[in-house]
Amino acid sequence: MNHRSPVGFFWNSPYRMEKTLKNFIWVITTGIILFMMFFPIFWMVSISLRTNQEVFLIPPRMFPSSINVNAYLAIFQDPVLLIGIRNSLIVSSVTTLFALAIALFAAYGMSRYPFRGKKVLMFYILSTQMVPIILLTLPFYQYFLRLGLFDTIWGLMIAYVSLSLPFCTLSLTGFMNSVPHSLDEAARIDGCSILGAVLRIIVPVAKPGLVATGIFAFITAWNEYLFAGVLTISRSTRMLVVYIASKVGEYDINWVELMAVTVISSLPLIFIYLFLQKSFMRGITSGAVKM
Amino acid sequence: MIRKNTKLGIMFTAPLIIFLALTTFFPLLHVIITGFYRNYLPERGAVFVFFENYKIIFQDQDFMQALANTAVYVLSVTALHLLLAVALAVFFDRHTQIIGKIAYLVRGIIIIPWLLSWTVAAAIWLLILNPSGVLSSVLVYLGLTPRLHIWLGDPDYALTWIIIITVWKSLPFFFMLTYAALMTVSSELYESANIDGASHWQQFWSITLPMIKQTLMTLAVLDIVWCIRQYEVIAFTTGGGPLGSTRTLSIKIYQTAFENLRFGLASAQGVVVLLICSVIAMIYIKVHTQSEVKQ
Amino acid sequence: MLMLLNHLKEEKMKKKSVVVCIVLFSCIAGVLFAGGAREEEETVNLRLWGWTFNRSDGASIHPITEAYMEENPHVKIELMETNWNEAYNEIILMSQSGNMPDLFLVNRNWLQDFIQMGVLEDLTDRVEAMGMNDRFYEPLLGEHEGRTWILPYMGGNSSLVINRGLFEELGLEPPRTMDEFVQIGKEISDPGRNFFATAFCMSEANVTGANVCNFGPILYSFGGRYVDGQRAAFNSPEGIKAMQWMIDLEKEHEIATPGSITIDAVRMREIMAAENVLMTFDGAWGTPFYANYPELEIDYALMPEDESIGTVINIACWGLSESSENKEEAWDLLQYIYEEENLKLLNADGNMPITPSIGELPENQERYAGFLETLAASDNFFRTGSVPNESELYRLIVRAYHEAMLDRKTVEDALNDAADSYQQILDRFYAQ
Repeated sequence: MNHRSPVGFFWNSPYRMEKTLKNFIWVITTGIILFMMFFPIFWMVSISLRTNQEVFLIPPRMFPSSINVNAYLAIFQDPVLLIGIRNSLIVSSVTTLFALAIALFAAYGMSRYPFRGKKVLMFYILSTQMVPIILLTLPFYQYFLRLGLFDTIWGLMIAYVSLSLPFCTLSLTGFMNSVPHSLDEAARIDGCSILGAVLRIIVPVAKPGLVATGIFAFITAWNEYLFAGVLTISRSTRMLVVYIASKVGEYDINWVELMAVTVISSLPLIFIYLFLQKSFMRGITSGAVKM
Repeated sequence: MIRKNTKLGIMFTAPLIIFLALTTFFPLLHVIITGFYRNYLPERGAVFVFFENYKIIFQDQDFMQALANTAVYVLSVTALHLLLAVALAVFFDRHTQIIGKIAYLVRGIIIIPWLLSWTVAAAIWLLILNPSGVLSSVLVYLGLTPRLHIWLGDPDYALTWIIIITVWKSLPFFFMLTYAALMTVSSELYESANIDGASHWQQFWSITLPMIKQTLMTLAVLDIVWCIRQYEVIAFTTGGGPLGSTRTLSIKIYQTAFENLRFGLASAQGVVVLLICSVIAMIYIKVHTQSEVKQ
Repeated sequence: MLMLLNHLKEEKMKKKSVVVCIVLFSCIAGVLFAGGAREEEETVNLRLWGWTFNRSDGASIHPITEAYMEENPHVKIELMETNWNEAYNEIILMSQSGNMPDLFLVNRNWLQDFIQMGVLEDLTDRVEAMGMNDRFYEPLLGEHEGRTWILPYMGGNSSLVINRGLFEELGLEPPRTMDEFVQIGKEISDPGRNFFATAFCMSEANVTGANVCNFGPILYSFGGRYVDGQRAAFNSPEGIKAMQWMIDLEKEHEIATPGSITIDAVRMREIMAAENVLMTFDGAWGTPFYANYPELEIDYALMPEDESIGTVINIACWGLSESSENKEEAWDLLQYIYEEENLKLLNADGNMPITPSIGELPENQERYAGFLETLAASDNFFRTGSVPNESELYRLIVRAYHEAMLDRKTVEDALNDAADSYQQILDRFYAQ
């Protein structure tokens, strides 16, 4: 029996009652948090299966009176949805790759070669995040226009890499700091190059952090709205998030389609995440730690 | 064994430095410079006025209220994020054996709020918090309130709900990163602690927390900065009302720039935000490097 | 020996990372400077910008532009679109970056700002030469201080939206005066069943909607005005009476749905569609929403009268860019858009008629009777875009409403304070 499992504790402990009570409180608190997390999601799915008129009902109904999938059929017939999904996937993937590559190098440098001026560099990295984005739209707009990047997905990629880089760098530095220095020193003595040490030793050990950071970069690019809304303007560069927001109109909100398109666009991300969860496992790394 | 090697350090960080300089740092300078101009619009009739905009800011009651609201909003959201994220991460780490496969799925579903765009998140909550929405209706049905309560129209509660929406939306992200940080803590440390007979609580304080402290600090400082930037949720739900109880700095700046078209003043307000964030960043860097030296 | 090997490895590694850095840089630089070149073409490119092109009520622009391109092969029309929520930001950014489209939609309440910014071409001479202004309903004209800047397109004026089916069921007639409105409300409202006479949309999340749908029309019906000459005038006795009337409806008589300070215009229409209210104050811009629910028997009635019949005119218009390089072609296209056949297409998409020639068609006389009657009968109306810094005016009024609603101030004090603040803006504006 695993030492750290509460069941194990329950049977081994002389204070069974106290333990169960503690566990009970844990489960209840977590349960409440989980309910608060899940209810809006349930509500979203429930709304996507109604007619628009049923959404307005006062008092609202918990479940739709009859399942109505018209919204799903309608949005799948809309070619802009596919354009949006395609653009968002391309932009988010490229953003993630670039952000991770640049951040990995910077994090390695900051973690392994603490140089003079590192504090200044950290401040510099953070300072780029400190002004409300709304103020940055005007300079970005002007620069992109001058460089011919306006209304292209390339421009958005650059903007998004710059948005996610600061977090990616600091987060990866933290994860690398938690990898013992002796590990890559040992690898170096064994004849690895620095790049080899990064790829073969640090990346596997810091994998959960790397995956989490990568997901962050992906979702940041996926959900960013302000730049996507004003820096692209034609149909072929429409991002998914802009398409979703187009359901919130001038005089009405198409609730059912808004929720349906959100459900559809979340599904692939959830599957990707479930797939990547395997890397959030302890134990794979413990072999490396023993080296 | 830590070697100081400035050359290698700079070389590794050079791509980052240059990329950020090209993309964000110059726009930032643009904002700082605009802050010294009085203008109805940037392209027309810009007059250099030194600190006039800053004088206007500090005589503005609305700005001060926005500053106070922002402080409450940012601090509560950050504290709740970290607290709940650590609690959830520890819970899932410890109880994985009991719920097994379900935990796997729950961890998958729990990230949904973070996958939603801010507009959608705000829209869902607007449906729940409407005067005749789910929450009010359920409370009346259960007999907890005599009549429909107007949550977002109540100056005492509106900001609380904005905080809850923000926490709800990005908690999964903080959970995910805390959980990832927890996973990099070697299980051998726990095993030896178990042999020594340390309780869960002791283990948490002496092993878990020190190991994930750096991640938490990074999360905290960035959360503060992001919350100060937060705009969509408030604009979509309350627009800063009622009675300015949810008007934060970014809402104020948006209104100054795009509604009143006073970009100079708005930029100056942005610079005030920048200065506040700088102080927070300096504290973070100081603590961060100290903890690194200890390591 | 080992150390030397290691040293060599390190050298090699340095080279490697240098190579990686160079690759990264060139990628960034490539991305940064790629695509800068623009193709030169002999044909004339016209860029049209708006926020309605993908909507059902704005769909007519596609057949119109396609037909135009077929008739004029040398013209290539590019449609550019931004979502409504970002539309104003986008056009401001466009104008400040020298990226103005040739023709663009202008919501009438932006007019003052746009004239100030100098982005609109003065259309007065062109319009006079064609006699174009004689075609439109006179109050809808895109005039400001005697000059024509824009041409009306989608939208119209505000009036009373009623649920004809419910009225008939209850055996009632639409109210003709504000007092009758209250009377009907007291008769039919039932807070226990969540049924009310009306809903107000005074949320700060949409201050424009709050004013053009609700407060504006009511203020003008009570005989008040937003601005008189160069003075803020909404704190006049009429203004106080109008706001007090709205607040009493919700708090005193309980005949308006509770929570007006969190309800925005969209929510107000949803409450109407859920049949929880009998009637709302709303504009012709809301008609495409009701068109989605044909089974509801929504109809439009004459604005209830008090001192006068008041209305607010808020309409999306076409403007010609001052910096356009193809003004003649753009003006030609604009005239084509306003040809009778194309206006019929626009009307068929569910938009209020903007010319008497279309409005006099029998189906429109029936369908839009309430709006057209109000437009003809109104002796006290407000055209959006005719006062400086209008969004600040709207925000101040919504805040005053909130203060009075939440018992922080009396209506009179709240409106007086708001008027003082707005007067400062007016003084600064006219001092220039």
